[in-house]
Amino acid sequence: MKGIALKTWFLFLAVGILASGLTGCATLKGGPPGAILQVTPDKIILTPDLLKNPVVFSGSGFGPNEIVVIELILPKGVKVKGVPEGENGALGNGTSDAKGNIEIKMGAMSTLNTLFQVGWTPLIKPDFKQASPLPPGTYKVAATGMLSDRVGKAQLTILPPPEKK
Amino acid sequence: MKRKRVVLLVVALVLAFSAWPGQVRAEEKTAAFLDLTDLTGAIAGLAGTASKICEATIDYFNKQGGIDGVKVQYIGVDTRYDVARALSAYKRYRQTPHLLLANTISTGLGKAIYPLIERDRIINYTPGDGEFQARLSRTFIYSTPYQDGFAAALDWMKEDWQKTGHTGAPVVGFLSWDNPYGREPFRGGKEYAEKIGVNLLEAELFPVGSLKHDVWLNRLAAKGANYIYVGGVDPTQTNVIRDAHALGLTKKIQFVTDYWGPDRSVGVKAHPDALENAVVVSCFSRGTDTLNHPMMVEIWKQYMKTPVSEMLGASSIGFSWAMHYIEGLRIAMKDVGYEKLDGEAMYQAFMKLKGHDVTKGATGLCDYSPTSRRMSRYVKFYRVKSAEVVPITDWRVAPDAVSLHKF
Repeated sequence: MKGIALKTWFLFLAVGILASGLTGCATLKGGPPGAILQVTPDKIILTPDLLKNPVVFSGSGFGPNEIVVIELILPKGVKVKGVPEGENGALGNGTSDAKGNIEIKMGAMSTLNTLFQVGWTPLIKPDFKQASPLPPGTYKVAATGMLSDRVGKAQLTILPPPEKK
Repeated sequence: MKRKRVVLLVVALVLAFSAWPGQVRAEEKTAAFLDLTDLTGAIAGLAGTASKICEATIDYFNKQGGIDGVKVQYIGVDTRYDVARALSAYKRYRQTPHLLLANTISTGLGKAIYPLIERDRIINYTPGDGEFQARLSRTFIYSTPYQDGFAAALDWMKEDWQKTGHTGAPVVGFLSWDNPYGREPFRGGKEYAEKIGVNLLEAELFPVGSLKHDVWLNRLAAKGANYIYVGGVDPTQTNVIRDAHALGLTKKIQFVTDYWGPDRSVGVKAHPDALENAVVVSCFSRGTDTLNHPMMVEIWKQYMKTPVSEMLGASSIGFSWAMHYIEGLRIAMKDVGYEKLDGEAMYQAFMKLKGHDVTKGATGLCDYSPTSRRMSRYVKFYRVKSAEVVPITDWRVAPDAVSLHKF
């Protein structure tokens, strides 16, 4: 009797856990196929040259002619101005071609706001005196098709500045 | 053992019920306003101020019980004027329950997000691009289109020219940012100038962030401009007119700015002498009009913690955003009720706003309808006088310059 009663309680527990798991578990519903993402170059030093020669995000496997947004996944403890904890930094956006391929240059505003975290003067000029650049490290990057929800992932490494001789 | 069974039962029940939130817990009724704004970035002075007033206005109504019991959930995102950041935020917040509207504070952002607005069947605000009137969609212009405002200014200039004893029509120069916003007034405005016989000079466009404007000003003066229309976001217009004053040009050229021109608490405060007699065309109340608007004053006092005398001109923009949303929500609730409240209901509601005095005088009568995405057809003119911005006309209907251009 005792064994049956115990099994009954465990059954209740299992049903409860399964119910909450099923409603929240996206993988069980099946997600869209992954896309492919490459970052070139994938190792950078933070210098203003990035504005003239921006990082390029290329890839395939997105939906045709859709908006694709490139995000920087911020590790815990790394802050970007204007981005609450738990949200992603922005690196760029563009539109895929008819075959679902992308080639997107890192936007100037993203370079300034996410990588350098500049301030802005009232005359809409970036103020590097107020900048607090992202710390060196390897960051995850995700490109998401906004209509297909397909995601391509890669990494971007920010190298420490070279030592001054 | 018995206690252990009770604990296990409670845990199981909690987990099970947490999977069905809507059916068991009593939910507060909410509708969401996603504000993809700029709080610390390039145009924070204008957009950030407007957003603070928008949020304050929403909270003001929420504290009074909301709209038919529905509280508005204001979600403010600091995009820092970056389209990618706005898209990232939209991706995150698009599934907020009862998300009805996304505000986008730049034309570029509004255009980038549009396919998503269509997919999600909500509506969005965009600043002033006439294309959204020419091609009707789920995007609602939150101002009178830029070219309509410019056309109204051309009418004013012609009237002023003749009132000051001149015959015929004046020569008008145009000076603004070299970007899509800066070029927008000419898409319809140029055609309107031809229509009314004003000699509109070729536009002089300067890079955003320019510190001095002498080169462009001198070119327009050399071409005989009697009036110069200035675009940008304050303090840009203030700095242009400051430079013109230093060159002695304000003695012989009347400067007229667009909606985002000298703000009483920004440019006018910094350069009152240089700006004396400058004229501003606006589809939002400015200067002393905002200081005399009872609800805006009440909201400013409650939320801004600074004297009302410091009220920024951009306040009426944010007030308008909130009030149009609230009025739309009121209509949507009446039409479909809370259970069926969605972006489509808000879209249909917005198209019923024509003729409503939504902002109680902070803007002209609303023009949103099945054939119009203009917030209003009305503009008003103001003049800088003794360090204040004072009205010199009543609300007047701006010409339909959008329809003159082939988009």
